[in-house]
Amino acid sequence: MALKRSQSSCNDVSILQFFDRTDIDKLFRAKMEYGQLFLFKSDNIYTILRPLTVLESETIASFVGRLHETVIEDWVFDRCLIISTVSKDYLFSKSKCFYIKNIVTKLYLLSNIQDIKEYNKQLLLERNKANSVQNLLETIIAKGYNSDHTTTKNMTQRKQFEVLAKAEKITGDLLQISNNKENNKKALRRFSEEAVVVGAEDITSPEVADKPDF
Amino acid sequence: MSLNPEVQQIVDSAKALGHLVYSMNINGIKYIYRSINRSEFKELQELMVREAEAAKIESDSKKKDIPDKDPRLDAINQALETKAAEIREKGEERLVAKGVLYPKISTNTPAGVSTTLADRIMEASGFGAEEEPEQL
Repeated sequence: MALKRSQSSCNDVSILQFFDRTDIDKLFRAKMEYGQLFLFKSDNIYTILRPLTVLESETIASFVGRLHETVIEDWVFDRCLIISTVSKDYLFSKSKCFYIKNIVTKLYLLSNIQDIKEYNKQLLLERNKANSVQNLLETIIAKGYNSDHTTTKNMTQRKQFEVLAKAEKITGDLLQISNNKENNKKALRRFSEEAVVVGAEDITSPEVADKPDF
Repeated sequence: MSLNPEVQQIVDSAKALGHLVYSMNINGIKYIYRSINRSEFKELQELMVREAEAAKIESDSKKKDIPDKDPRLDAINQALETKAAEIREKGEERLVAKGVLYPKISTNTPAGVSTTLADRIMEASGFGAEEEPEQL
């Protein structure tokens, strides 16, 4: 199997150069789990954090005014920090005193949409995405097996097809696929535009295929 | 910028500890100051919080047994506000004492100099230096 290499601009500074393989693994796992990450560059320090979850934001709000702000800032930073070019110890004690405060303030704003227009826009975007064939497929599986979307997303696409057929039987929902090729192409979510499989061989078989956990 | 060896040593020591060192002229005097790190900031904050809490407890104990709408309450509240302003001022003095490397701030230093230096130390420590992160 040969993969076409993705094209990247020579002007882009790759963040990969600042981190080792363990950190990159953490980065990829966090991206898969949280979907959105933020890279902060300041004073030659590169730090990547995840956004706060809705529950975390609500919990913080309930403690504002009851706990000193540095305590809350430390908690948020510690919880959301994925990787950094400097040690955690350095960040918490030796960094410039407003470094963590500035990041946490920004992170809080980025984690919670403040503007109602932006809120509606994001909701509409997600609704449009949800109607793609790929997402409908994942929804039917999740419904059929009473599981969350993450479990379904962690399957290979081939496995998803297999489980979908069973989920359709359970739910009675049949994935509607149009005969119009163009419509389906638009509806299918793109995984990677550059990845092209050349002369690939399917090494999976029903015997070796992963059994779904549900 | 050439500094005398003694001052240069102070500057070098601060840099070795990871502080950013700056200088500025105020009224013809060159002041050398450094950034404050997070653990120093927390120490200063803790002191201020402790003082503020003590002042609040003292004020509350004075208010005890005084009925509502008693004019003495206004005086006690006013005293608490004055105390809060003093605590903030003391906090600024501590910040300057920690951040200024040379020359040391004395009782003869004009009040405005101390406030200007406090602002500069805050700036050097990243206050207001918000940067837009890159979304990954």
